Amino acid sequence: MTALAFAPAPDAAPLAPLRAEVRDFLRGYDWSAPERARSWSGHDPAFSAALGARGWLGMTLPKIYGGHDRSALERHVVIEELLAAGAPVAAHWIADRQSAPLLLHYGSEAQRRSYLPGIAAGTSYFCIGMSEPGSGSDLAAVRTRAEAVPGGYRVNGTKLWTTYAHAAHYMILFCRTGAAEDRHGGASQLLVDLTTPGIRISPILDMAGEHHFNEVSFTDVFLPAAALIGTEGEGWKQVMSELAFERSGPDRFLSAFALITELLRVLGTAPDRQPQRAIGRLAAHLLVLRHMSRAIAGMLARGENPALQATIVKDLGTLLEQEIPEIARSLIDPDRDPAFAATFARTLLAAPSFSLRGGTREILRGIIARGLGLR
Amino acid sequence: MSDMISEMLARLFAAHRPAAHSLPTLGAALWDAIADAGVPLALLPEDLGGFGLTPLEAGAILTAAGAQAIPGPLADTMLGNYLLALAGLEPFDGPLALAECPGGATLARVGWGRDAAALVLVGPNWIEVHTGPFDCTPGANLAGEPLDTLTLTAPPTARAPLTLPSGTLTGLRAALSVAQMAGAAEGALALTLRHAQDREQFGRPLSGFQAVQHSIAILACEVAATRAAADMAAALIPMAQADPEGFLLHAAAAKIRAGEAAGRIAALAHQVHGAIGITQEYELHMFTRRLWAWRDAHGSEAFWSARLGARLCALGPAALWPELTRSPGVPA
Repeated sequence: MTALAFAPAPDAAPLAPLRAEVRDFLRGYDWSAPERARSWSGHDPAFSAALGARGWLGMTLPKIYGGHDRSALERHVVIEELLAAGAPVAAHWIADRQSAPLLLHYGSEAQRRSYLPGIAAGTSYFCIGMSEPGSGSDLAAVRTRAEAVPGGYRVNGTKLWTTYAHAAHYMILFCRTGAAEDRHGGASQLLVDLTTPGIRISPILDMAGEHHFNEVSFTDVFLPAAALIGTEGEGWKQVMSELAFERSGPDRFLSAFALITELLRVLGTAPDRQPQRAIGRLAAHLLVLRHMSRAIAGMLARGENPALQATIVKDLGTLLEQEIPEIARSLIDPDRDPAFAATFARTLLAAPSFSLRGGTREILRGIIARGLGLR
Repeated sequence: MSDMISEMLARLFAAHRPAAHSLPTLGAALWDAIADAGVPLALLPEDLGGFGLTPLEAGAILTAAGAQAIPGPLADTMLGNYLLALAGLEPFDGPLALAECPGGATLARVGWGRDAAALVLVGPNWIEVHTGPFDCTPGANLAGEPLDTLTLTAPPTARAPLTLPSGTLTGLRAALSVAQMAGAAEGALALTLRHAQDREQFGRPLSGFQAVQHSIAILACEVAATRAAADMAAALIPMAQADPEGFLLHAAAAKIRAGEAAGRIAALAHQVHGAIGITQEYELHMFTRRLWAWRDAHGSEAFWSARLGARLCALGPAALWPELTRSPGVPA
């Protein structure tokens, strides 16, 4: 049972001034509800750079790497305020959320000095090189291979579902460097400059007609030996720690928040009992998820590993996110109001991805079962 | 709470775990041990005669008791003493019954009324202690816990002014009942894990089947949510008088979430257990029946979600996020 325990959530009082600062900053922007419904898929490099200038990216990185030496709790305040406001954070999101902590932990000194300042400035963007055509949930089945050659590696293979690869500067590539039959042992992570010759990035439109996904193919791509992140052959362990960062945040239960505020707007200030109860129930879920998410930030701040807790919050959080359009349509006719209809449609079309990205629901439940000692 | 105290209480509760087929009854030996351990005073701040536990730690005691299906009015005794202390009255070793302002001399559905050393009665701006005698008509909840009708036959033995904003007492009781629900939820999970590992079908333990693993994973997520809800609400108990709306927001949310979790936990635990789980001889019902009973006590989901939703709707969409993130007691 202790493995599933969440530490008490930290004291909120010291964080109030920072929260007020972020809210002040966000009052300078006025995104429409359908824009807000893009949540962390909204892409705006100018906004990312403005956040960087305020010191709200790479917050937990040390100052010598361009960071701000702030706690995981302070970062949590900033990111939940951005998500609740529906700010367009996609440009820097992956870099700030998982690439930076990965590089800080496993990267060489040269890599930290080269790449972390750009992430903290909001000008250097990363994408995730994990999935492949034959390797989705079964990440250990990746076939992209980096072969040792004089001075570095030669990479061949294909990565798939690579969100915003077309707008990113770098990819952290998870690939095979060892024997093909060694599922977990023969993998490594490499830092890839996406302008390197031999890389082709092709768009894949999603069912809403939007371009987030890409296929990224590598044909005899030469990467210098210095591209290796951490230790050759330790990629599996490293990628698991990266996934813990990917799963741990409030982006796993606030993706549909814009639809809730739209729902409140259309319902008005004194709806009937049934909508009141539905709103009350939604708020109850959000409050408890947020409490759990803050507890995770507290564990990160103390240097603990909340991988299992993050998995639980992601599973619970995405269940709620996906239920929100269902609740909305049970309360009001989506066509009643054009802004509501557009917000509803965007959330509905994005909703299936909530329990796929960052580890499918089935994978998460397997991890939880393992945490309980069932496998 | 020091590890020593929590281990001592865990041992005490484990030693008094009732038999599956027994009705919930309060033995004198158990209550003496509970009182000796200081549990009745667990919610009192140090300056009011407590021994310095945080409300979170007091809640953890209720959770530990709930995980062993310990009978008795632990929550009402803790809360009754807390309210007496706030009003400057002497606390009791208990057991205490707790009730809200009557329409007359008859109080319906008083938990453990038959066993109470005293009844703490809370009015809109006063608090009274009644030590009896009472006329008692026994009743019970879904879990067989006493839920009696008491008629007062004598004047109070103590009375003092106490102002609790409207709804606060129900909120306080809801907060503590979520801590108990977290315990019952853990009790159900522990039995389910053990059963899934011990019981074999098709030549392997149930825990070897992925479908069963996923059911238990869902169950465990709901248990984790219940514990988080309990922590969230308990931590804010000291804010109940100073910032009643802030406290009630979180108490309501905790009770709604725990109630929903209770339904899923009970359903999944029974599903994994199969037929043995619905027998009187097996322990699971001690936890699932309590979850069902407590789910509807001290404000059902219908009650709290209407209250919470009405307030959030009235505040409007721009106030939703500030309201969800406000920390009771911290200026916005």
